[in-house]
Amino acid sequence: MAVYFGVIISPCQGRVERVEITNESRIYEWDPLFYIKTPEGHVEVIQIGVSGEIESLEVQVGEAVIPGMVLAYIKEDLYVTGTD
Amino acid sequence: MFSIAREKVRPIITFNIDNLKEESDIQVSNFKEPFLFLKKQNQLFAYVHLNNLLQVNIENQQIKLKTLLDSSKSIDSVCRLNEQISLPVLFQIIGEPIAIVKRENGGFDGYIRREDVLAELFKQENKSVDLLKIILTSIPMGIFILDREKIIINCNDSGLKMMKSTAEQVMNQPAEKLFSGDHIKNVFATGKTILNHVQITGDTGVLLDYSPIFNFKEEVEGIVIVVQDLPMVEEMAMEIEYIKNLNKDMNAILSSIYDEILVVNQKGELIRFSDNVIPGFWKVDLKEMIGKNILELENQGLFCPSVTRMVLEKKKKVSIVQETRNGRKILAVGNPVLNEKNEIDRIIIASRDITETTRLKTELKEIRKISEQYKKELDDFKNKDRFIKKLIYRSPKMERIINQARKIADFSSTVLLHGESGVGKEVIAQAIHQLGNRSSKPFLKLNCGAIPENLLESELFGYAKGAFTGADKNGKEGYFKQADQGIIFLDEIGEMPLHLQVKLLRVLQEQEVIPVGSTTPIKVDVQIIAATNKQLEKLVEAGTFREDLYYRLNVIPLHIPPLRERIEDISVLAFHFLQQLNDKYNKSFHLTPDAINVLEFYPWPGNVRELQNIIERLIVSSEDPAINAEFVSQFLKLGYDLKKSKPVITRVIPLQEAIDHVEEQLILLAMKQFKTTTKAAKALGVSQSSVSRKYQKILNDRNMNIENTVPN
Ligand SMILES: Nc1ncnc2c1ncn2[C@@H]1O[C@H](COP(=O)(O)OP(=O)(O)OP(=O)(O)O)[C@@H](O)[C@H]1O
Ligand SMILES: [Mg+2]
Repeated sequence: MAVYFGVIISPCQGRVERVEITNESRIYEWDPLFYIKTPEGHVEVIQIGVSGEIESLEVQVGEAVIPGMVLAYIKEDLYVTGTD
Repeated sequence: MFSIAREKVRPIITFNIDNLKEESDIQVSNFKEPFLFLKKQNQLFAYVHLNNLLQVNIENQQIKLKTLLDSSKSIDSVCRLNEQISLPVLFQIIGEPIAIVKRENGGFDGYIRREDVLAELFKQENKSVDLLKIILTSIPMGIFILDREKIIINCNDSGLKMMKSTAEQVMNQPAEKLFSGDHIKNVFATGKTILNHVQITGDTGVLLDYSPIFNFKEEVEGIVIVVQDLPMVEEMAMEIEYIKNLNKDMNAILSSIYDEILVVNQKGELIRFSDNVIPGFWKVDLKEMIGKNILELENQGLFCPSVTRMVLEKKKKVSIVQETRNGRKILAVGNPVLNEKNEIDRIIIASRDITETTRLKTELKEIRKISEQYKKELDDFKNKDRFIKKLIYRSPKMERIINQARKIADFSSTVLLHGESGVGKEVIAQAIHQLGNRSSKPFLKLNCGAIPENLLESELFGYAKGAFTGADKNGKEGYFKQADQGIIFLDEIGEMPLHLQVKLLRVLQEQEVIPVGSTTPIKVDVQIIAATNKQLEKLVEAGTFREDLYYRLNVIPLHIPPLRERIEDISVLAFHFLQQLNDKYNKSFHLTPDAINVLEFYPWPGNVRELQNIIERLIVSSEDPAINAEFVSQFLKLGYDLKKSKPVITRVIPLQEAIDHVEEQLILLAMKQFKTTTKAAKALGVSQSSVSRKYQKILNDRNMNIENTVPN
């Protein structure tokens, strides 16, 4: 069976301002996970409509990111919680 | 051994250069011998072949000292002979045109010319002295002599041995059979020597030099091929073969895990790539990129964003999801390989096409959603006739929400309930109905996600007489009309199609509906309670939910927190559901305090609905009327939270109580897993006696409890 995994990716270029999760933490859908400050100076909140467990955190505060860059790998819950 | 003929020894004419300058002229015609020996500080140090020199300066018998020195050769390479000559000495003679003949007392007797020595040799009685043979067999290298026709005309034993051949097989055979025809042709054509050519064939490995043999006209007349054994070549060849195979296997393994692998050096230059690559990922042929810089591709806009650049900048693993021109999603993971100095040496970029995975995932989610929907309907259906839905709560959070609901009930305001699936949105909607002055009027629920889009409109707004074929001739009242003066509960409002959102907005604004196929609006008086487990703001942002409708609905928003955020409710709900089931089946199941603890610890992603289902499963499966923690744990997907995370205390309890509680659980767990107190103690990092004592006490306490609770 293929490895079943999900990724949380950055939608924009910028710098990681805040990280709300750690390795192995549980996340619930639409929890704010990352705050990314764009070069224009506004802050993007990264949220996803997925619950699960963080498998590995790929970035730290202060790190530069680009669109498409993986911020964390997550193992999604195999049962439906709320949405999506 | 043979001796030198006395008459062939010529006198050594010396010339002292001590007091001369380089520009000094020297009258060479004075010297009658063809070889002149130069002396410095009373030491012979060089010799000059005057014949050669005079050919050049023929008309002038005077030459400068500098010219003389320039054409002189060091005396060191000239061999010194005794009057008796042994065969090895011959090798020394061959290199120089002359040899010096020593006197017995150490002085020099004179010199002798090479041709004279050789002539002497051939004059010897002993016919077995074949100089060439002697030379060939004495050299510890293989030698093959080729004639003008590239035929092997002579060779030595070492050569045959190294080439794993015999004289019969090679003599008078074309040299191409053993050696590189190209190199041989090349030497004939250019007259240049080819050195250190490695030749590996099957089980032989040799190092070859191809040297021309010139005739007097400086034409290549033949070739000498010098063969040297390459030690270990056989093992090396075997090893190379093994590595080749290994490489093939590795490639196969890797390509089954990754769709493409690139290796890039610390400058970003492509060194290697896998056999299989992702089609359409690169706008250029990777073969042409070998040795070129991948970062340049990014600059040229051929490819972006570059994982390589990010890895170089961050000096750590970086993953990026990229999309190809044909819309495939590629996950590229760049891994730096560091050298001893902790600098990047290489970057391995492994990429996988995750398009399929992503699609399957979306599909799977879609399917799950539908099956979950069915399950919910089934649950609701099951519960409907069994029990009147009673609202159970103890948490301050829920208390606040109920108080709010009570107020809302009296004002008929539009309510938007938001919360995860199974938190009790529907029960709260019902409570609002029950509590308010519309309680004697209808409460109609419509699941906007479950009714097909084409039916939804007529269900909601009704249709006029003969509005469409197949419809009831007399027309039909819509939900809004049916629910007049009561409440309409629009569940899953986020699923409502956009064009119906407009109509709903109209109902909210005008308090009237227009049935399908009609133009006459009908006045209605309904309170609307909408519910969703989606974040409607997100849907508004995404453009699938009308912003104006969102504001209309969001008059009184009620957020129902997930069960894990109101732990106080877990035990009361659990007892409530258990009680209902006990009543129904006439049983007396009960939950032990540690079982409640486990329930309170579980995160309940499916909220109250999940809790209700679990309780039912517990009593269906339990043999024992007392349902304990261990039993409960089997039914919960505790794995991820309990195993990895530290214990979490979610409410304030006396410290000692918490410590005792944790200690008890740990000891029971360890005993269950390791069976003996010794092993358990080791795992817990405490003494065996302490585990033993505490375990005994726990067991005693438990027995007492059971005695106390044994039913009479
Ligand atoms: N506070 C409560 N007291 C008693 N039962 C409750 C309570 N909350 C929820 N339930 C029960 O849990 C189940 C799920 O509740 P409900 O259907 O209201 O959830 P929901 O929020 O509408 O979920 P969904 O979004 O999946 O439709 C129902 O059987 C309901 O009776
Ligand atoms: Mg519901």
